[in-house]
Amino acid sequence: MKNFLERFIDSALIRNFFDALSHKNIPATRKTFWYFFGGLTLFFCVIQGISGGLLLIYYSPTPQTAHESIQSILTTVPYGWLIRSIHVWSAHLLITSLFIHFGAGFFMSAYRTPRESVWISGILLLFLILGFAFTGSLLPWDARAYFATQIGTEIPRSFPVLGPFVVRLLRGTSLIGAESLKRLFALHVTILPVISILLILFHLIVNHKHGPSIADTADGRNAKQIPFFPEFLLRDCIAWLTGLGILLVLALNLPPLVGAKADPFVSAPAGIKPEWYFFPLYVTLRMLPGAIMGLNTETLINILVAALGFAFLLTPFISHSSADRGGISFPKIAGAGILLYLLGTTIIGWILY
Amino acid sequence: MWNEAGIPPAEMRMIATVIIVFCLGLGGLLIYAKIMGNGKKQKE
Repeated sequence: MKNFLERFIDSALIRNFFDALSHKNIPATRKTFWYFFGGLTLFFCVIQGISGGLLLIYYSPTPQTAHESIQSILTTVPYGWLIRSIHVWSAHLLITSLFIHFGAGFFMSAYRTPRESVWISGILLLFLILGFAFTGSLLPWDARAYFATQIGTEIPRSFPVLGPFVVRLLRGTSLIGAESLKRLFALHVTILPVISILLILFHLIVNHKHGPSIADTADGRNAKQIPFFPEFLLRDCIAWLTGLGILLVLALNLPPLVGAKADPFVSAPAGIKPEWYFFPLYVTLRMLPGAIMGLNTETLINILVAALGFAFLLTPFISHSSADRGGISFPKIAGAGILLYLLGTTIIGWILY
Repeated sequence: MWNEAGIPPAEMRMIATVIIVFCLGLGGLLIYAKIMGNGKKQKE
């Protein structure tokens, strides 16, 4: 066994892998702190995969059994409540870490040439993770999950041309039902994970190939260089331990419960609102009147969100001025405005609604 | 002892939290010591 392990570690593939990592240098500047959020996001993705896989053993995706299976996970499955709590809290922390990683990348101009592929794959992963959150929220099949998804899947309807098709694709029927649960479950546990794993691998490989964006700046060139393996990875481990500590404190002390089973024939309970990461969209829709200059507000917001998504996706091609190398540029001012709006609407959603 | 939702009482969960946070903190300190040790070796 020992020989096998030694031979395995000594094999060309493993040796080349660690050689490549130890030859990659990371500049140790004050900004290096923000790089830990990339590793932390990946760490929470792994936690989601493991805890989700464990929940999958007991979960049953039909309207008749979904709620009961969650109840069973909470009450009869050994440590089921903890695994579910970890899955739910890890999702919140994953999205928080992902937003910080995205914001740090944006404000540090990590999209600059030659890192376009790193940036684009990262933005696609951001959309995919939000897709995971949206598709997973229906699975407990309680009243909140049911009506929040009913409202959430209604929003794209007013998008020109594609809207009704997207709604039909997600729901399968006109209202949320067995078909919708099946579709969102399939997206959540097979389609999205497969695409995400491939994209994460691509993101990591191109990121390794091009190195950290900070290395191109004057700060990065003058800073002390530390090898990724083992020096930076050891620092990453501290970030992961911190993340794990926060996750376990939350999961152990604030386990999420499940509400009453969804009943499509009763009216939606008062106070239904989406998860905090959808507050900006929810608050914007609630604050604005039904029509602006004769145009449906939902249509306008849908177009605006799609345009914003494309603008972020295409940032490397929109913004390639030299001002991006650390100075203040139009994308950064626009990004700061959007960040303030997102934070403001999230706080408003938390307090007022 | 366990409530209806099958979750252990708050005191038990708090004790588990303290033990886990202590162990993770200890792990973090060990890694930090390793980083410091590596830094010293490089200087020498």
